[in-house]
Amino acid sequence: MSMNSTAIQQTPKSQINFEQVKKKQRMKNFSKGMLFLLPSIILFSVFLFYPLARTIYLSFFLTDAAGATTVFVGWENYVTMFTSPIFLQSMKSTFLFVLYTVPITIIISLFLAVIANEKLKGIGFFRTIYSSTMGISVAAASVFWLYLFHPSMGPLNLLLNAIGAEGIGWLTDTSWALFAIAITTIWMNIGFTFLILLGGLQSIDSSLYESADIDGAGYFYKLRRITIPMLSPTLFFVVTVTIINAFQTFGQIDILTQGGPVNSTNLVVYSIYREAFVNYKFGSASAQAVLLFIIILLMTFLQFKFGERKVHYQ
Amino acid sequence: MGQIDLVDISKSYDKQKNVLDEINLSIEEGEFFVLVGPSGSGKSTLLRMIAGLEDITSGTLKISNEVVNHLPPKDRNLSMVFQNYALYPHLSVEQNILFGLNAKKVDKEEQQKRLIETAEMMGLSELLKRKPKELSGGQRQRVALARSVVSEAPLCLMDEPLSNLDAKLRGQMRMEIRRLQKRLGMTMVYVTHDQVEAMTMGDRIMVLNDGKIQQVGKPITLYNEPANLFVASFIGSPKMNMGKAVFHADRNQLVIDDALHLEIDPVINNVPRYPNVTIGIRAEHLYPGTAENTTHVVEVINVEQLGNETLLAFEVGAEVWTAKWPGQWDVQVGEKVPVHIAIENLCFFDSDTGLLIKPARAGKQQEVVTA
Amino acid sequence: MKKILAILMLGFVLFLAACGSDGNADEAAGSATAGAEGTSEGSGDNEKQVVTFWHSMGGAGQEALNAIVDSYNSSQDEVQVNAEYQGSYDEALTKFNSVAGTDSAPTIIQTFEIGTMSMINSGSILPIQELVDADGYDMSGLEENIINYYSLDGTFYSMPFNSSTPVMYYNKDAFEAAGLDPEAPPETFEEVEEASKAIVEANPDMKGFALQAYGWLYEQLLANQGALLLNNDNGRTDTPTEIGWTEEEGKSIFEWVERMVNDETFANYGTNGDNMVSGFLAGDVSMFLQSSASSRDVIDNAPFEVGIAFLPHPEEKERAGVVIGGASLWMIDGKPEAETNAAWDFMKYLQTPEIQAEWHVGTGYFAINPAAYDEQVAVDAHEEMPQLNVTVEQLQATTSSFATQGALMDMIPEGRKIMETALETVYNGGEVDDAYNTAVDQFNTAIEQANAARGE
Repeated sequence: MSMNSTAIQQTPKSQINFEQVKKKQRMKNFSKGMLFLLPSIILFSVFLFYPLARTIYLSFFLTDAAGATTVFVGWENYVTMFTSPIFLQSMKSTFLFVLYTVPITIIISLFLAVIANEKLKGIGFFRTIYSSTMGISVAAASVFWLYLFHPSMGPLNLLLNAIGAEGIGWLTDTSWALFAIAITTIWMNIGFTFLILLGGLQSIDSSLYESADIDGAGYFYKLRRITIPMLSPTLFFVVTVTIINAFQTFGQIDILTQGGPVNSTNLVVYSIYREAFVNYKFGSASAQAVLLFIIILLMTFLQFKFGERKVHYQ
Repeated sequence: MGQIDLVDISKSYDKQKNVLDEINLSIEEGEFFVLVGPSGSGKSTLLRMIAGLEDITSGTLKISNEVVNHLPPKDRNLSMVFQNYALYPHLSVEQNILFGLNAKKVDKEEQQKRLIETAEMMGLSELLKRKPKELSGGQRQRVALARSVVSEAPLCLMDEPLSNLDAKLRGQMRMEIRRLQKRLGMTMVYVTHDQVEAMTMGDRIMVLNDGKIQQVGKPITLYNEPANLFVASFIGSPKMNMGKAVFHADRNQLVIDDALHLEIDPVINNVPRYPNVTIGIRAEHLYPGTAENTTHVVEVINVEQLGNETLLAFEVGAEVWTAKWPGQWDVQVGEKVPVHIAIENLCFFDSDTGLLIKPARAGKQQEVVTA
Repeated sequence: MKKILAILMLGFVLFLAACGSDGNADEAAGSATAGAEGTSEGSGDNEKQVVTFWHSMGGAGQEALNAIVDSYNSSQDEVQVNAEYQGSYDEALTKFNSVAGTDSAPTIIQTFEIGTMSMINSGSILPIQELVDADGYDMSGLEENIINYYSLDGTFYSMPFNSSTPVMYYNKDAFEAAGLDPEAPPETFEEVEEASKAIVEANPDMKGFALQAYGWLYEQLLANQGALLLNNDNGRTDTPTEIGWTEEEGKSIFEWVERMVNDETFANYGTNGDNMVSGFLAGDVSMFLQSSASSRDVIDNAPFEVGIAFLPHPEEKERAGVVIGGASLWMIDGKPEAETNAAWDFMKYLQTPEIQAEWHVGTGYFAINPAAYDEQVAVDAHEEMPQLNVTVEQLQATTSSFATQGALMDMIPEGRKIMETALETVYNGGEVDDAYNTAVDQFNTAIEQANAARGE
């Protein structure tokens, strides 16, 4: 009897030991992993998680000019935001801006990338030119366009005058300003988008095209049936990044229009800036930042959910 | 006049050294023609020139008696299978097979008819809706073949199509491709670096090295009468055993690599009297010596048991020779074994030019069995 | 690929949110300058007391200011003033807010007039009054209208430094060509309209008048009618609770602009003052309103004769005068006494007639100390450029009232933006009533929110 019971006890005991060793091993592995992750966890915490938490916290308060919280107002900042015609206008402008810039940037860049992908003499020169806007800072590009858009001395209006048309108030006319900013942004983004798309094109296996050549496929047939589908992962990346960039446009607005005329170019990020650093309303600025965060998160999520179905990873 | 005629075809990039040098070749209709050579020999370039994917620097290329130098690939009426199959990853098997027919705007009904036939023939009927990444290597290979078959082009070019497959599958596909070619009667130009593929598949083989034709001929001819040292060492596995040979007329002896002495009967054996001679002997001609005919005793340095035959390696001067003995031999490394080497099994090459002086006689007499 | 993308994206998003939240980046920038400061301190003369002076003077103003600081540094050997340009007033204030109370804070900061209330509320400044009392310094020698602006309840909070008023610049050559008297510039809204029509008639390529969409100008045009910007006497007797102007006063400006827009005599430069000035210099527009601080620049660069006139007012209103614009110098609290005293010495130096004369002539800001106008430099310059005198006359013609003392409230920067948007709406053909009512609503909301944020 006693023999029996010890035997029974011993068996599970050895099993437990075995489990414990495994557990210990897992703990060891886990802590080792955490050790490797520590630098990035610290960096992310300091520069991302803490500010994010702080932003959310601030969005429930009113603040003084130094950004210190004064009065807890709950959801009021959010309510004010959604009823403010200025902010609603700003959201509308932002979405319009995304709509103006993203498709055109990608179509132009794709076109440039496709023609720059041909194996021709001196193509390197054109590739450099097409991607050169990537090397220009937002500030420099904006100043350059500020000059182009100048109402009386800008080349654009001089050109219009030369062909007998009325000059356009590029940055002062409410119906043109957002468009002008969009042109500037498209111009600036083309370099980066072009380079990424060109990289994508060059990674397409040339034998696919050769096979299609032998099959007798024409240029556009190849473009439609091979290039675009094979480029879809790159296109997807570019679309996602361009959309996020468009949502975050700031520099060119600050330099070209300061959100004007009549708030027509007051895109969300600029609105956040103005709210926080001109009006010193850090609370409502934070509320806007949180909303922007949610919108971008949602857009990105939707893109991955629906856009990715059409993407063919190799 | 064959199906494909190459006249003085050369290829060079940037006006530098010729990658291909004055290739003259005629490929017959319905022939399975293999281009074989080590990597960098120019065989793929030659194939791509026939396909129209590379420019021809000089020379004339004729397909079906028409000069096609200037024609784009699609007007040459041929199909091609690429080394990596060039399947469109975003299209299903069916769409992949029909890609070319779609591009050529072939009638839909005709497309379906050909698709069903081809899929049936290639055993792809169950896989038509799958994407290439859902297929095994062999299945992908079949899809690539199916694309060629469905095009019904009389000429099919293949660029190392089996190199991505494992050995077993490769053997199986060799046979399938060969059977398919015979069945459809198409002319095949097949590029490979694998001499086994070349030997087993080709009606005729062209050995290419360094942009120059080494030899064109039937597989057995290449094996038995290699035109030069390169072909001799390239064709055949294990490779032909070679050695520098010096003939001592006074002693009636042929000394190979200062190590192996062969007695020569000047009456029977007609040994070429060149100053620099290299001899070659196939592994299967290094027979196990019996009590009567043993000519040499050698020390074995490696043994490979293949089951149906046994490979024995031994040193001859600085070279390592391999003997292939049929059956299973229980030989240990370090053991001394008797071998029989016959003068008539030697191929003689001029060491200076590398050209064949005199092929082995034995091959012809003993091995080609005519049914 | 997918995962990297997702992480990348999350990173973008979070980083954005981080930037939007508070002044982390600015804090970093602030401490960077502080670091640089420290090294210069170490390498310089150890005995000198270092005073850090943050300012927002770019271009010609910066040159003139640097010359003055250099002259001060070489005039004595106890104090070393380091002048640091910190960007626009807005930017400098933002940086200051993030370093206030730390060692990185400057000794003196230059802040624009509408930042007055937020500086007082910030609690990190030392009112000048304390130094004035301790030193027995006599402020009465300074320009009365300026003093009025910067004292609240009889206490001086900051030392006025660069003050300007808005004036009307006009192209005398164009006036002559249009048959107008170049020596009798239009004084009222209505006269401006008439002159504009004449200009356009004479030269279809030139517009008559430009009003930059700039809240400060709107405030000045209100004050010139004797109107208050905020109630409770422009916030000088109690915290404002709503706007101080009447509908008639406020709308008159919009209607004036609208009439000119309809006449097609109005040049729309939006909010961009630089474009407006270059348009004026290029002969695209004949009149515009701008700070007198630009007068030296405009006169020097114009290929024609430039006239400077008083700010226009509606015909049925008396001219009440202008509010003192520009900026003042603030003493930062919590610095060692020696440093504060050194900074005070520098402030006093800036108010001497010689320095003020140099400053006035070099920029077009006017002299805080009226004695400066008797300095030879100023006399000579006024003789050469009588236009510079107009700004002085306009200020002296101003009747002191709550209206011309200017408004005090920490939401004024936001209020300006609201008025700018409303003005631009009208420039772009919007309805005056809509634009005006929207602006007033937003203005009042901004006041309420600002009061709420202080927890009062």
